[in-house]
Amino acid sequence: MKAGKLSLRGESLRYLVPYLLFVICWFVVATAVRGYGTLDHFLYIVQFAGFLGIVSAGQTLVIVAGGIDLSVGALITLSAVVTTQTMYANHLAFPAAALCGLLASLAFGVLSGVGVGSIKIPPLIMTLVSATIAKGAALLMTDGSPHEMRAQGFQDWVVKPGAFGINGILQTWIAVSVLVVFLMGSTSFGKKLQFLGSSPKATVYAGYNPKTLTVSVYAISALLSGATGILLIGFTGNSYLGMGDTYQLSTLAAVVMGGTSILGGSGSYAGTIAGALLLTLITSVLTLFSVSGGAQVAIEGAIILLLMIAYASATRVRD
Amino acid sequence: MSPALLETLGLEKSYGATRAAQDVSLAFQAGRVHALVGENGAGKSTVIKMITGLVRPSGGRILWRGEPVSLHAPRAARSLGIVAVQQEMTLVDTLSVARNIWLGHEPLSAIGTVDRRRLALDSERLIASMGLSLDPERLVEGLSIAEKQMVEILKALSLEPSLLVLDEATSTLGDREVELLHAIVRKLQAEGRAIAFVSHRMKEVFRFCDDCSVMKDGRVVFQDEIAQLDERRVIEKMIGRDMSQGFPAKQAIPDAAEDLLRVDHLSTRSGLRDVSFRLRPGEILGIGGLQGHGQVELLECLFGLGSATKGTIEVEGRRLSLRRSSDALRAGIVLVPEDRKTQGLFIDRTVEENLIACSFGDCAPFGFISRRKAGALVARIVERMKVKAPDIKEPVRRLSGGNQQKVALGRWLPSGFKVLLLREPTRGIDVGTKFEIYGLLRELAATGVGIIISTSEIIELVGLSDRVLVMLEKGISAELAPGAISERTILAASFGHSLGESHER
Amino acid sequence: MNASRVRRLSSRIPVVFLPAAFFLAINIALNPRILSLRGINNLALQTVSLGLVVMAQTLVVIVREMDMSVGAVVSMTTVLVASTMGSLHFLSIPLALLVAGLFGALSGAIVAYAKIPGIVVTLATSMIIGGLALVIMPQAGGTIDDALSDFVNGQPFLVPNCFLLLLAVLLVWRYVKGTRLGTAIYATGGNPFSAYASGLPVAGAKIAAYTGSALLAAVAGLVICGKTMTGDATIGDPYTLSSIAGTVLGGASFTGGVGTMAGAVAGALIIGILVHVLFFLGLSSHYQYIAEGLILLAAVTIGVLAERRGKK
Repeated sequence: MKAGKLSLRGESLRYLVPYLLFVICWFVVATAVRGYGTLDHFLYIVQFAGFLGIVSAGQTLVIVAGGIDLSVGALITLSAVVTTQTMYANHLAFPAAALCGLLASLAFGVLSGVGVGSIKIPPLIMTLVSATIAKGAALLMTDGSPHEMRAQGFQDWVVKPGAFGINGILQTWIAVSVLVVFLMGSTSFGKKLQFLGSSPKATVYAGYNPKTLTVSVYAISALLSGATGILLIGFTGNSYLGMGDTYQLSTLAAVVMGGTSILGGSGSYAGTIAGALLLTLITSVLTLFSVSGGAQVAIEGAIILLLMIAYASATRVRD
Repeated sequence: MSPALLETLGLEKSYGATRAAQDVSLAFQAGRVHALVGENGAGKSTVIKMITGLVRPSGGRILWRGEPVSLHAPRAARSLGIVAVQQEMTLVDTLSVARNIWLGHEPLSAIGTVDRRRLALDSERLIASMGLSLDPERLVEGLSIAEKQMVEILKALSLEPSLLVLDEATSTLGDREVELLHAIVRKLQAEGRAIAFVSHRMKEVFRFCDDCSVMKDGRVVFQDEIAQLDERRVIEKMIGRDMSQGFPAKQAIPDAAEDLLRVDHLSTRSGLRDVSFRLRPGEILGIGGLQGHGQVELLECLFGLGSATKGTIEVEGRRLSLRRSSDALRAGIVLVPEDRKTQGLFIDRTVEENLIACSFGDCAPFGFISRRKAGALVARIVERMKVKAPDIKEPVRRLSGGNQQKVALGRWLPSGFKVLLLREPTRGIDVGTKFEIYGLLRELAATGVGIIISTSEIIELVGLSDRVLVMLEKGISAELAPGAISERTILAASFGHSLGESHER
Repeated sequence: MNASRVRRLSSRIPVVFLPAAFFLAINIALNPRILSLRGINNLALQTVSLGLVVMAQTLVVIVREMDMSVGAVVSMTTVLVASTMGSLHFLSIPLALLVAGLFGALSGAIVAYAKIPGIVVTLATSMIIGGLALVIMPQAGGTIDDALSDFVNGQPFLVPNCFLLLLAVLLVWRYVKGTRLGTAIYATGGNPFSAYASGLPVAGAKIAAYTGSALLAAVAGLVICGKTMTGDATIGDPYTLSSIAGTVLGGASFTGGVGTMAGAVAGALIIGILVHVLFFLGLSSHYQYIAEGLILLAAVTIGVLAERRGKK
């Protein structure tokens, strides 16, 4: 029995590592840079990490289910653009416009899910395809010049601290976190996703429908991307083509940093949360030191690579 | 007796605290066929892995032609001339027969490329010299399982082995191919090569081999020349009991009993032809026949994973439309598939998770898993199946084969199934657990469930089934009534011969 | 025996050349100007660069992996050459090839030894390579010697030089394919377990495939340099997706062990011509992405479905 408890802790330890890393980085940054390390700074980082955190929740679920979603960036842009466009051109009120934005993302999520689950197109390619078409749809819809956002009520809610002293982004992130962690750990759907990622061939023998599971998980990811896009325009006040692009690779970085295995089958959103925080902290420091965009991407890539190698070796050693 | 080609002295292998093999002393003589028999888990594969260089011994010595050698890698063993035909296929489907035979040691031309003409010629020569007729240019993809196995053997022969190890090489072969293999083995013997024949098929062991070593629990418990032995004795040494005894008593199902499952003229896209049979409550129906003759297709179709084109399936009088596995589940049909590792279990997930995997309806009423209900359910199954799992939060792959199978079967218990389908249910399982499972199946049948068990172990078929269906060429070759079930009748029907209503032993 | 010989010969000429010829005919019909010397030159350059990139991807797909860094290597090559040609002149070319080869070998080694899927490894390396390219040259620019441009664009033998380059690459591949390494590459992709059990150098095959892919992408980068006369850290971006589409159209399978370089070239031809045709049909650039996406979707769907039918 004792041995069992230890190994369970061993699994969870993996997801504590990113939190430890975050704390270490925090202290390093706090001592090295003036003005950093304050509570305000912390809230600032957490708030920014919120966008990444929400969209990475979808990525976590997809990766745990054995896939990968390369359309999150494009869908962030799409939902934002559809929302502002329908508000401006079709004179829809914000809630209706936001719904359109979410539905647009959802459509592509379903497309990806059908392609991966039914036609058996490799997830990487299918989601790239969805991303490309979504980019085209956004371009077409806005004719190249997207509109700015004008929904004061929503924008205020997003930006200004409200209930419990936190703003809309954080409220949403906390809600998403609770839901996703609960989903993964305590629902049959969450378990089935893990089973799907772990042994895809065994799912039909257990009576599951892998096609439905696949469509569902890509749909959820798409909705979360869409929600992130809408939150973003609420925060910045305008939409532009390509606004979601940086999030694409960052979600992968956050998930990998969080300790979830890229191969799927097991993972934790709690880890991804830490990954998002850590990544946001690192990029903010890099930006502070005027590290160029290109260098930031290169560093992100190197971090992902090193972490994947580290986790791969660690898993092999354990067996 | 001439000195042995390969000799092991006190060979030992431990994995942590487990002793997979100890004090193994064997001798393989040139020109003789040495059988290595034993139950699953007896240590045969460990010994084979050690003499083929796949695994390093923890103790003992290996002598080749009298000299001690250290086989640290497969290449080392190969260079001495020790070649094995493994249980798992090592062919590449997308390449041709010729390419597969010479894979890794192709004849080269002057400029370093593969000499295709010599490759074809060498292949034809080798194929013909072994009495086979295969097109060397044909892609392996299209070959039957038996033909693929022959290519595996040719592949080993192309390396001109001094010691050829055949590890369960005949399990997928039909009568004709076994004859050919027999001829090949005789030829190799005449050439002065040594053969190690690992099998649990007594008929072939007694036909092919000169010497026999029996392994049990990691040790060699018995050794003698085949001429001095008989089947019964060998099997007894292997498992310490008479395998044909100890099966639970069969049930006599009255003919007038209502059908539980009724299949009429079933044909599928996977090749099944006009299959019809009945299953009554409380009955155990065995499905025999050579491998690859439709058993898998039949079971999968009944579980909703096939593609029926004609015919009907009825459970308790209700016609079913089985388009996916959930349809079968709803009708009360469950399947324990052949491959535990990739189909029957979520091998990397915990024992606990695997046990509740098919019972979310019970322990997760609105999709939310109730830890209490899950815990109770798991405890019930563990107790009923007597699963030996020290920690249910460990991945199920850590369990022994027998316990894994108990989980694979046990996870269906809470579902209240009406028809239980099993495919090769005791493959790779130790004898003790085998009989536990047989007893459990009979108990389940007694509650009114119908059981269909498809297996290639004839002893199991004979000992367990109330009736037997023998499949041939994706159709039913014979249906054997309770009194007509015997090894002879099953084998005869497997090859399409009929023996009449003989009740002989 | 003879029947199977004929069957094998006909499978060598990828069926996919037929639609390629068809599309070419449409293209010529729509735009007769393409038959001019300049038109052929342009088509040649585009086909060659796309062809090299599709060959790169095909090589990796044969070994049952994928290479998402193809576009990044193309960009990096143009950037390296454009920024060093002023000082190193001709030597900048082997330098660029060396750098590409090293990145490819690194990717291959990580895939082979750390046992991480190539898709994600090359996603990460594409970030590193692409990011570094941007650091070296944030804005398009640099200098390219006329020599390179003359070579790439020149047509001393009636056929554009770059065609000859492509031919040379195909001949090299013909040789490699015939060696034991070539067999190892196909076997590793067809059944990695069997290849390993048969004593083949599985790790070596993967490293070779990724290195080869990077080198081919680098050569494509050189051809592009010769045409655009500049280095640009973003020029390679669209090539990654196109390489996947071309690979699938060229008959290679994601399950590994199947694929030919001739098919890769045919696939590249189709992609390149399709884009041209769409352009001439008057589709505005707004539809560009959607068209690309749909083409890729169609290509991959056809590829996957055709393979499943073939298996049955």
